[in-house]
Amino acid sequence: MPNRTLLAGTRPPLSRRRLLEMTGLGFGSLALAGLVESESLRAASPVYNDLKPRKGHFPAPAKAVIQFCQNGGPSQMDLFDPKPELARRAGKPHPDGVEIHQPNNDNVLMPSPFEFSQHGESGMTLADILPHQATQVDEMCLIRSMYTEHNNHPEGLHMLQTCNIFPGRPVMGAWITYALGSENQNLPAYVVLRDPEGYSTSGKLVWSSGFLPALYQGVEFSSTGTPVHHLSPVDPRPPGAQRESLDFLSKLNAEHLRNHPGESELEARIQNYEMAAGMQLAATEVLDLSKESEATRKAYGLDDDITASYGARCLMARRLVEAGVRFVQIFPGQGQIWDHHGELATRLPKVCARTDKPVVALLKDLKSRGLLDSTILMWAGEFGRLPTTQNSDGRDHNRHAFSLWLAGGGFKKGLTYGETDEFGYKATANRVSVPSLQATIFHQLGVDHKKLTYLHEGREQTPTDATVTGGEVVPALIDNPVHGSAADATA
Amino acid sequence: MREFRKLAVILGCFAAAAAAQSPRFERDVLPIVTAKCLSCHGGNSMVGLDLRTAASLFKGSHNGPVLVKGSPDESLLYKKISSRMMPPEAFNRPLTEAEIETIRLWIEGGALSDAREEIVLSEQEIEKFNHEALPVLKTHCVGCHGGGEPMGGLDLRSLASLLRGSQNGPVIVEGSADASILIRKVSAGAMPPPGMGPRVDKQDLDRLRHWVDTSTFALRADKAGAERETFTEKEAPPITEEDRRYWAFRKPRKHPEPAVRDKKRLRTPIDAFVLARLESEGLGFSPDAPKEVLLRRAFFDLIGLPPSPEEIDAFMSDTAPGAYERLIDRLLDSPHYGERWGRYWLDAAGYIDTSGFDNDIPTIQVFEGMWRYRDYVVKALNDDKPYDRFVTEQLAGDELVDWRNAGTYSDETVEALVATGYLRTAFDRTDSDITNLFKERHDVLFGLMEKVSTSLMGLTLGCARCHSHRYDPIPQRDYYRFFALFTPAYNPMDWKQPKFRYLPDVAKPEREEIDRHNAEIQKPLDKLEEELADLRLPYEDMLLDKRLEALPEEIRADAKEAVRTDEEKLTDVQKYLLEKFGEKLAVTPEEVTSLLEKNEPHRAEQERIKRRIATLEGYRRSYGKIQALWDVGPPPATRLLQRGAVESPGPKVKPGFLEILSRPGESDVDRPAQAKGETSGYRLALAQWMTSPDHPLTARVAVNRIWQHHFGVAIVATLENFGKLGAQPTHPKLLDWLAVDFMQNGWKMKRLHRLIMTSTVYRQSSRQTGPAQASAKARDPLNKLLWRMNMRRLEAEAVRDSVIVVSGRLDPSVGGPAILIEHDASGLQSIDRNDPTPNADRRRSLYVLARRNYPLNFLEVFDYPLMQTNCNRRINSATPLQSLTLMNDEFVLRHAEHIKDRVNALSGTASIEGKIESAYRLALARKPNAMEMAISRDHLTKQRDLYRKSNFTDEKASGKALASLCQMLLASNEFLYVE
Repeated sequence: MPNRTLLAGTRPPLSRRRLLEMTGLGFGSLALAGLVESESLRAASPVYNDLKPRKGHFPAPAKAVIQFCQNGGPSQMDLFDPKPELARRAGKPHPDGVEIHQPNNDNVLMPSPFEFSQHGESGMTLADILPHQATQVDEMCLIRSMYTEHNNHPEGLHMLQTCNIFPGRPVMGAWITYALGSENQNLPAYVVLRDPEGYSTSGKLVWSSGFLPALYQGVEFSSTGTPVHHLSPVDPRPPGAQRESLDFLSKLNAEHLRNHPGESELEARIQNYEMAAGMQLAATEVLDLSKESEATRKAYGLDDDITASYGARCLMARRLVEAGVRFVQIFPGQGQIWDHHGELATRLPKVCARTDKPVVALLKDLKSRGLLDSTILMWAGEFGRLPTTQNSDGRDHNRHAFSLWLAGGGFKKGLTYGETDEFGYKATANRVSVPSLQATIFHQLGVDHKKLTYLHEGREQTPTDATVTGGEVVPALIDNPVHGSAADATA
Repeated sequence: MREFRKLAVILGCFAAAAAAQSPRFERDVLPIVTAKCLSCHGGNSMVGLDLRTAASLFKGSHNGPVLVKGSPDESLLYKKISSRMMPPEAFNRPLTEAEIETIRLWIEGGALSDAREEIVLSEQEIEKFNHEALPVLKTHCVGCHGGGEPMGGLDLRSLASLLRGSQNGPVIVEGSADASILIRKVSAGAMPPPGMGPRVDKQDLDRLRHWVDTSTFALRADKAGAERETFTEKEAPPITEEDRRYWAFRKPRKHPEPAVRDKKRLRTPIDAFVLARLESEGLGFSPDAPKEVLLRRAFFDLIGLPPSPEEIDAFMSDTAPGAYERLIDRLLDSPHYGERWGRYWLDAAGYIDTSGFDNDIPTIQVFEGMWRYRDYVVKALNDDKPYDRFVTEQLAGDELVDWRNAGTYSDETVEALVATGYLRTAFDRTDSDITNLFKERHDVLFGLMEKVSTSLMGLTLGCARCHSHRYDPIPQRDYYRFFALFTPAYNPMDWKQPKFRYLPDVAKPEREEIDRHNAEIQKPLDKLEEELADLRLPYEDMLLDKRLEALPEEIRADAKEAVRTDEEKLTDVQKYLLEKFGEKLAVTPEEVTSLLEKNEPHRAEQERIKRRIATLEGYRRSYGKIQALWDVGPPPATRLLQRGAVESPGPKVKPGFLEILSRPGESDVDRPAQAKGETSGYRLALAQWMTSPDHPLTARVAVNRIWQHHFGVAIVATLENFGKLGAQPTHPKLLDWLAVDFMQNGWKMKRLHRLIMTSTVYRQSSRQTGPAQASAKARDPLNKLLWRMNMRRLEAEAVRDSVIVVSGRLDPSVGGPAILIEHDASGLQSIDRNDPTPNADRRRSLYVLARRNYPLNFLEVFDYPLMQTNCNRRINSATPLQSLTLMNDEFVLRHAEHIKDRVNALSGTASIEGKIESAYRLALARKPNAMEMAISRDHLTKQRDLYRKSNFTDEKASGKALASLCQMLLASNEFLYVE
């Protein structure tokens, strides 16, 4: 018998990943075989197929993310980025023309119909239609110099979520839960709270796990009725009947496993039924808002028709993060309520009224519970809007500049970062790309966006695809730019 | 209206003539262009055309000049605006006749401008560069990138030379430091190269970034690449002998069968290759699996469905020699074979039934007639069409027959055209005018390249789109040569949107005859419609007048007028009136009918007209759609795209094949003699090259894919990548033997299945219970050497189809239009109850609408892929959501009830044990053992008691208990896995 192991073979020694790829067994089965379990990501990129909590590449302040997905394209020059020049040159053409997307555009500059004021110790300037956010500017890290790659909603959303305009890659939340697992084994690691009225643009693609295992995709929790698909059977059963059935099933499976020892996938599947049963209880409980105090419910606006729906989702987000969920994504409404191609002056304030108070209630609630430092809040749309008119009183899409803000999780407080040109059309100073923003968020969670990899179609894929997109951590946005790629970038 | 236009032209001419004899750019043209064109052709310079200054306009686009001074008719600019192709209608900002005339006069008058044309870059821009960027570049870069022969052809000493870029194309992107290679190299520390000087510090880097971010270059010198007609070394590195020696790039050859010790286990040559390798590690085969295991394995492998109790009995009682072989023949002859194996190919082909984005659950755009391609694949497999022919038809069916000049289409012609559907599933967003842009058109081709290369050649070409492949010998030039094979059909300059890219399923003369026939019917139909309207109008009026009485008298006339006005012609006042009163005034057709019917002669007259209309409508004829691909015109010039960007064209490429896979000097395309009709023949040449016995990869990739689906793991585990980054073959000689044997025997797939499935390797047990297995496992834990059969989970479709089969409800019909799906408020999708297909919810999953992004939830949860381009290997996950689905999904619960009914029907009044046995046989194709019988009985008792406690009758409670047993069998691991 030749005195060598199979894996040494005739080729040079293999890395663990090469080995995995060569077996082609599907990563899940291998991970479960205990071949690649590892507590730290620092070891040569293990492959996961479970939700156990894992450490990142380095210690970091944040443990969870709440993404306020403000899709539609919130208008930067009407909310976060005042442009007096638009008032001075109202009605005049933009000298270079602007890149338009839809019909009925006029190359005519339009001033904001809203007033702006300075707030807090930081003196951050916001539009007056955001009175609640105005009280929290000293917690916010506002970026005015974001830009993205495409002017169409689906492409913009895919970019924001996956660093690529096409569907198919995993979204940020999927990568984060892949990297860090979850603190609660009875709840999904990544929860999506959408408007019960309907899906937003691009629907489920905005929380897709792409080429990562389906375990890491966002799981929709309905804020009304049954929280999760298939959480309970369509016809109610007598008490105890399902438990008894599961006990029977586990005996059946045990008998099967006895004949097939060593098939780790079968064992995992047996455990999954227990997890599913656990989820039935935990999911129902975590979304039960009746235990919240009257004061809390009022703070989130649950007593007001305008804010009640969004407020409920924001309050659920706090409960989910408290319970150890890693990533929560909240949508403000069906379709894309921030998309104002016309009647911006009357429609934009309504969307602000619907969202402003609940968002701030959540921020303050997390802060009072000591959770803000370990939770990243991300308020962002997929692109911005043009300084020129469309349909005479609206604005078309603009990929060249938009504003968004972050709070908590070690992001700088009261910072206003970056600039746009005199019209707010293009980001000029300290421009931040979407991949760089994501790289920074990953950094705050202790994940090095260049070291977290997954082999797909012959390529080591990373969350920000930095070799193609050029994404880098933006040290200026955070308190602790000392680790990993941030250190590289400042060297 | 026409009169008005004429007047406008006259006025326009008058105005232009009065203003000056010859218009000037800045005074007369720029204002028009600023309002109507700069959105695309300003700072964004779509297709390279920048209209902000006369000088930039004169430079033209990437495709050449757009203006001939003095001659509007020869000027592309004028042609485009006078024919109203520009501005595109979609943007709703048409030029007025007067504006078009002004531009015509300007060109005719010599295209005068106030600016001095010889200034290529504005002084302001040069000043900004010299002040902000040049000092940094001087300190760090010009040592190498300056002087006589600057490195990489990049000269950083002036703005003009910097904008010209390097030999690989532009180094900065206007207004975006992040996208600029120059900045990225510097910030990554790659430039200056380590050791060649200090790194650029943060302050200097920020200055450079700021300069790029804030710069606009009205007059960019970015056409250097397009003017270059030779490839750089990097774009076309030579293929070396060393490159050609890599195993996957050499022609496969048939190695002799190796000698083995344990000869009695040999059944096929395959066994010799596998066993020899095992024996070299001191291992051997596991025992043959028992008969009932082989039965279930063969059923799932070949047709994707479980055996019925009758089939189990027949096979188990067939003890004559050759029973197993006969079983395989029976299954290969089943029409379900093509459904099972067709689905694997459809994955590789990226098959979908929807067009466009498929971004939102409720928006389903059905790709009309695409299902014919799915049926073509199923039929080709059932007919055992040779693989080389199968590939040829899919790449070039349209070039095999002269359909353009055919008087009528034969079945073969239709089939050949349908086969090209393979090339039509690439993600194409250009149906909507706002995404029908140059880049989006190229994206279709890029996706197509990826699909064709991974599914047929086992290569990932994508890397070479932007730069020569880093690991495999695929020069960037070869990528675009290959790309050029498809541009006569997918021509970015002469684009067909998907909604117009179809062929009728009848020949041109027949189609014209049908169109003529329908047009003839239309004339009397129009007349009848008019008569009907005239007949009804007075009644409509009466009703409307009555409604108007509710309005103040003074606005009644105006409101009536508004109701009667065409929507486009409404004035603002009328719009307001309609908005306010429209609803109140609306008269329904039913009201009109019921009023009219009170007048007997009118009723009879209406009846007569309607009957006549119905009769004529019945005479209409129609034709179906084929989603095909065909050359839309002569081949366009195709250029290499520097860094894969459509904005940076490089030298022209000659269409051709990959050099590394061709004999030296034989990678050019010649139109094959067999090409029929007005077509380039490029794709037929590609098919001939691809299916040549000399091609190193085609047959290897094909047999490897078939191996994958029999064993769960392929010989080259990365089906899509046989290159250096792919997995290496576990059994290289076997792979080659199979590939050559496949080609030598007519590329027949059924023969290969038979060969594999009759081997000892395939017939092994998957169990690892014996001592021999324990030591084999210690040595080869991942079973790479196949010392046992792998246990495999069923694919999504097989799970769902099995549930339907076990319930006895499968409608085995083959083919037909896709079955639609609907969704509820919670986003759960199910079979559309209104789908006209008979037994829509009982058909195999293959026929359910294949959506790009929203497959049926049940399939998705079991890893049915999202089709970005295509899917060469599916993920196989085990998640709690799968558990929840099997516990609670309506589909599962409903079918558990059906199975219960079937069990009751089969075992009638049998004892409880008889029913349990029957349930096992249906779900698991075997009888329960004593222990299973005991726990099943116990389960039935406990469930029945629980239901009784909830006030169910005895009979109902027993029924519920039995349904629960059936459901748990469906949820069991044994049901989901094939041994």
